[in-house]
Amino acid sequence: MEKVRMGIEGLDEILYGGILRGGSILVEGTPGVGKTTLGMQFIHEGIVKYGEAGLIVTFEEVPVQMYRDALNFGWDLRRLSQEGKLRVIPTSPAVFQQQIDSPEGLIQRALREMDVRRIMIDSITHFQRITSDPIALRELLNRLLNLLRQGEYTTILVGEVTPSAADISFEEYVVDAVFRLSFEITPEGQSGRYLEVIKARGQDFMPGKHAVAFGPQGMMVYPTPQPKVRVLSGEGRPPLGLERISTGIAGLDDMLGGGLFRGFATLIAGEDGTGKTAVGVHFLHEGANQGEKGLFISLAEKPHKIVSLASAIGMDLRSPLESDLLTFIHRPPMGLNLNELYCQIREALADGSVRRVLFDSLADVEINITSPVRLRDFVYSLLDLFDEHQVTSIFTANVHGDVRETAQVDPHLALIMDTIVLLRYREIEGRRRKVATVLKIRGSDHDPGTRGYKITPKGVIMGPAFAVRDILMGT
Amino acid sequence: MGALESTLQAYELLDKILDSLIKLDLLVFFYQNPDTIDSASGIATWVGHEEEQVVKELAELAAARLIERHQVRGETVYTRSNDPDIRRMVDDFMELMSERENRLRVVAQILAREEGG
Repeated sequence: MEKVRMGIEGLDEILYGGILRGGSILVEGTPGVGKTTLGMQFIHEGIVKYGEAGLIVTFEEVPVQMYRDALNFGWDLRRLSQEGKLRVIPTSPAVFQQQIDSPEGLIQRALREMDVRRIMIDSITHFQRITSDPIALRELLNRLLNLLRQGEYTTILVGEVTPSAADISFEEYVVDAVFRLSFEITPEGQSGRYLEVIKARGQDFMPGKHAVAFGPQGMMVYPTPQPKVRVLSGEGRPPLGLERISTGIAGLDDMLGGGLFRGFATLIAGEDGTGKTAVGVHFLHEGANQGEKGLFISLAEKPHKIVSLASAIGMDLRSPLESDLLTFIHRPPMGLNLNELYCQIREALADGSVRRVLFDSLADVEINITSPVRLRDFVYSLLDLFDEHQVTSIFTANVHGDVRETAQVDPHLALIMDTIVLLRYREIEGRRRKVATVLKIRGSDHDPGTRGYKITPKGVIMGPAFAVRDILMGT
Repeated sequence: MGALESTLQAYELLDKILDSLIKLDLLVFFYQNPDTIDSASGIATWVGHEEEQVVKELAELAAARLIERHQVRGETVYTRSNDPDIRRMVDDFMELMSERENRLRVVAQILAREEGG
């Protein structure tokens, strides 16, 4: 069956291309959550993008108010109305029912004359003005929906729910699809809007709650990434290829057995101040030197500061920035919306030109979530994305404590990363030193030893290996 | 119809028909919401006046052809006029009303009529 695109970024993705033509969609939610905006956008985009005339039936809000609200998003509904592509009809539920029921009714006539394809009714809660008898109300709504289906009008029915209404309404049963918009407060106290497709008859959709945001062009839905099942065994995932690429740090490449594998994901885990970002900067800088485009995802530091800090260790990031060999995504970590960030990264990779990604840092993601599984799922989704685009990636993360090496890395992350490099401080020969250890690299042997390194004005310089005795004894 | 003639007709409309503020509110409502299709009861809710008064004023506006009255299955609903000349006349009148000074004059004139019975 033909699908109708909603025209709302992200929502069509959740619906795998749109909603079945002629379907009735209940958009329900508490006041102010964006139900009418979603409906107006569906109608506006239908006219502007898909050439489908629209009809808005309003029982409460006068068109002047709608026109004003729509203009906030750049939708000139008044002009569309003047051009005969849209009609916004203020009416009463009983009159609407009567005028659409009868072939000679004025609303039926308008539907035919304009060849309307999309309808919004705002809101069906007002049908209770016709009758308070639930059986009669259900019959009335059923008759209306059947009539709309016969005409193949794809219809949005706005439905109001009170914050305390937990029961399933009869409207949810009789319509073809239900979208629920809600305000949610995360355990961290942040509030945000979410959209969930409760049902969509005859078609598949992405389950779960998806973040919603309003931008200058209207509502955007950020689908929660659906990670594919990954092999959790540390050894189960075969290498994508045997091509090695340099991290830009010769000694580290040696420890890795000749560099990183292209398309692999590496975790640089370390204590604060050990130079995790510096290693990542080397990786991107080296990529730029090889003509490989890089993407720097920074959640704490602003790009200009990163460029300055890189310059202090001899890494010129300004030139690749100017020559488009490097781009930044900077999102302040506070209140970070992971779905939105994922979509932004996906967009940055869409043209296939990016070859290297630095994600700095997962520690900034952790402060926004309470569940380690959520962190794992987010990283899973990114790794899927990087796999798809054959991107080689480095993630940085914090570790705490200094006794057992592997215990310091988040076990969820340790399982899904191809390569793990640990950066720590150690007391060796009476001095506190920075040391690096490669914990694992899939598909290759590596130097299991520990090497000291320095961060100098000429970059990160690896030193010789330390004896195990030196490290354990701190001598 | 020329612009001057149309404007004169708009003034004439004011003189002859607009004898109450409710009528003025109704005319403004249909001008601002030209796709309205509703019963007298529904329109009374939209404009915020007593249904009984609105029924009477709608009937008079319909009789003067400024709005249209439709009967579908025995129910009466009102819409704006479909006649292009009437629409233009109402548009011209509303154009005049967009200036505060004219608006105050119109309201004062209607109030004087209402007081005069």
